[in-house]
Amino acid sequence: MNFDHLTLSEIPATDEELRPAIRELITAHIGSMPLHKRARTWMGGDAVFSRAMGKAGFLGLTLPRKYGGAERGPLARFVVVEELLCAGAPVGMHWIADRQSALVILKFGTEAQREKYLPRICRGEMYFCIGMSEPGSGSDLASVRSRAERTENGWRLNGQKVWTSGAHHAHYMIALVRTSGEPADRNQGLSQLLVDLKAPGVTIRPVPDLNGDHDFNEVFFDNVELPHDALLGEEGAGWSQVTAELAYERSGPERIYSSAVLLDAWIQHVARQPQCEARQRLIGSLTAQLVVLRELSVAVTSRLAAGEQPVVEASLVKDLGATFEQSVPTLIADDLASHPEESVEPELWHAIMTVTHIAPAFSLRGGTREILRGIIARGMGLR
Amino acid sequence: MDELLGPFEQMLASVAGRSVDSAAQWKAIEESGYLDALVPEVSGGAGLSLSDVEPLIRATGRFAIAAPVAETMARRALGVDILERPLSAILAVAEIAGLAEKILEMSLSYANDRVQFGKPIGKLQVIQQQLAVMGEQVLMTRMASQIGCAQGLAPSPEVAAVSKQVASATVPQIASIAHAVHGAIGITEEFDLQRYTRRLHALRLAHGSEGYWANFVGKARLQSDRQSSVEFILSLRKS
Ligand SMILES: Cc1cc2nc3c(=O)[nH]c(=O)nc-3n(C[C@H](O)[C@H](O)[C@H](O)COP(=O)(O)OP(=O)(O)OC[C@H]3O[C@@H](n4cnc5c(N)ncnc54)[C@H](O)[C@@H]3O)c2cc1C
Repeated sequence: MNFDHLTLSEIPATDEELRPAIRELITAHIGSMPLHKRARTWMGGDAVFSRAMGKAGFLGLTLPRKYGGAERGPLARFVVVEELLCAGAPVGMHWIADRQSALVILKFGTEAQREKYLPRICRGEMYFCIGMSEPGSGSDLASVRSRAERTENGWRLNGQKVWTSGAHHAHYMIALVRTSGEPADRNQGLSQLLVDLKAPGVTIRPVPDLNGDHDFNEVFFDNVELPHDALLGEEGAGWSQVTAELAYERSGPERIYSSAVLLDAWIQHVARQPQCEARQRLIGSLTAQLVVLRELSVAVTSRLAAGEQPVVEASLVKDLGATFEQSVPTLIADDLASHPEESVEPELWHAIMTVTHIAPAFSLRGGTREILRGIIARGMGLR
Repeated sequence: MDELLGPFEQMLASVAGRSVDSAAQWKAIEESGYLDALVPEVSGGAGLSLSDVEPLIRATGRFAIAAPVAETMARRALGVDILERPLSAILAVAEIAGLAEKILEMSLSYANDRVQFGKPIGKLQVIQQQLAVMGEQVLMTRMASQIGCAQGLAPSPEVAAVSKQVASATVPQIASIAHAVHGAIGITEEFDLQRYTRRLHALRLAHGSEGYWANFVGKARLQSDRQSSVEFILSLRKS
């Protein structure tokens, strides 16, 4: 790890130019969305909005034109995503397809697979979910037990995934499964499969979260028959493919902006109250941190734009970001409850409690804090 | 950039250390010509920008040079005796970033060398987790320094405020983790760590602590008509 890899980077003017159009699209769609829904940022979705984004050319921004993409760099996507997250736009439907599945298919898929999936992802019509975690395999992902066996017609899949965000509205899952050997073989013998979630033998059950929201699911595979071309990339190369996928998953601006809608709503509330130095300081320290985190996030995206896989860098920024995002609801709830004389809009309290309850997820999803810190420590030369 | 930094580091290395006579140290720094780095070329300087010079200021931090190298560079370029507080704050941030890097480097190598229970303490997960946190804080100060220095010699006070707020806020954690990892040897006079952490604490407070600048940023944000975080961030970059 060399800290020189993360330097202040400029977003090209041509990418900055995307802001007015995406803002217009957002304003047209989120008018009536209550604060507590917007505060869930990328956990809430709306297919109408996803299709509108597709139509306006905001999906698949980095994909080649021949597949319906915009053939721009990751910084163009950064600009668009930053606007979406800070507004709390309902991006949840297409989120995973646009952020990572499309890139994995482009990188490892066959020409036929690219033609089949990518244009529909770019139109905002086809949604994906991530099939990594299993009941016995969380941080220890290489221990997955779901298993696909070769048949005459393709593959027969058995097993179970869990915590699968958005499986209930996704069309496909990219699943990490064992295609040879035993769980003791660890990262040998794993492959990625494109699983059609409509296929017979697939059962999806909701797992409501602590706010009562339906984000994640458990997904069961009972002798699911899949065609030959369900294999994504090389048989047995699943582990290295999943590592590339996680770099996309960990590096985006969503790792610093999860509490931004809430932060901004609270600042608007404070702006209407009498001046108070303690509050000014809190606003100042949170804002200053966010400014610096944002430049770090841009710097990571620039590494991706340069064709690198900034695994350690992304882990550093994700952990810093998660810590920041988690501090926001804690600090502002204390601030508001320290001013009992003030009238606070019920919607703001609702949003604070929603984010407070879900905030532990910020340092779990996409790799836990402890796992990321292990990656960082090794990246810095500790053995 | 290395052509610039390399000789500068060599010069600093030759005059760094606790036994160095400060007059001799200053003479060597002065003779190196680097103090005119920010002076425009037409006036006989090197005409570099503050961003170009940022790695040099960080190097003065890494070598714990207490002499006012960065301040002198800025004073000469501006032709003034006293610098405005926002610029002084940014120069302190760049030095903090250098000190922080050095302290991290010392802590990592100490953790790899120091053996307890039959293995290097750096193999222990609790130590690894703490050093990872320190790495994160060091990264924050580095970015804060680049953000500040990108403003040049007439920085926007809001950007200076962001930069110093974040850098100062990292100091207590960086220093405390470094000392925790080093154990008792770290708080001895003899061991070098204290030269860096003492200066780090001093620079945290110099030209305004994190609380001072937090108040400044908060006030600016409350007074601005930029409603959202993104709008506020973008307004800073343009200024
Ligand atoms: C909101 C949300 C959405 C998610 N969406 C998806 C999804 O769409 N698809 C998907 O596949 N998964 C998803 N996940 C699952 C996520 O990837 C896992 O939660 C994560 O990998 C951790 O696994 P676990 O929950 O089983 O915890 P465990 O791995 O059991 O960890 C429990 C605790 O032990 C610690 N721990 C474990 N191993 C070590 C170690 N070696 N060293 C130190 N500490 C350790 C962990 O850090 C943690 O503190 C989602 C999770 C959340 C919270």
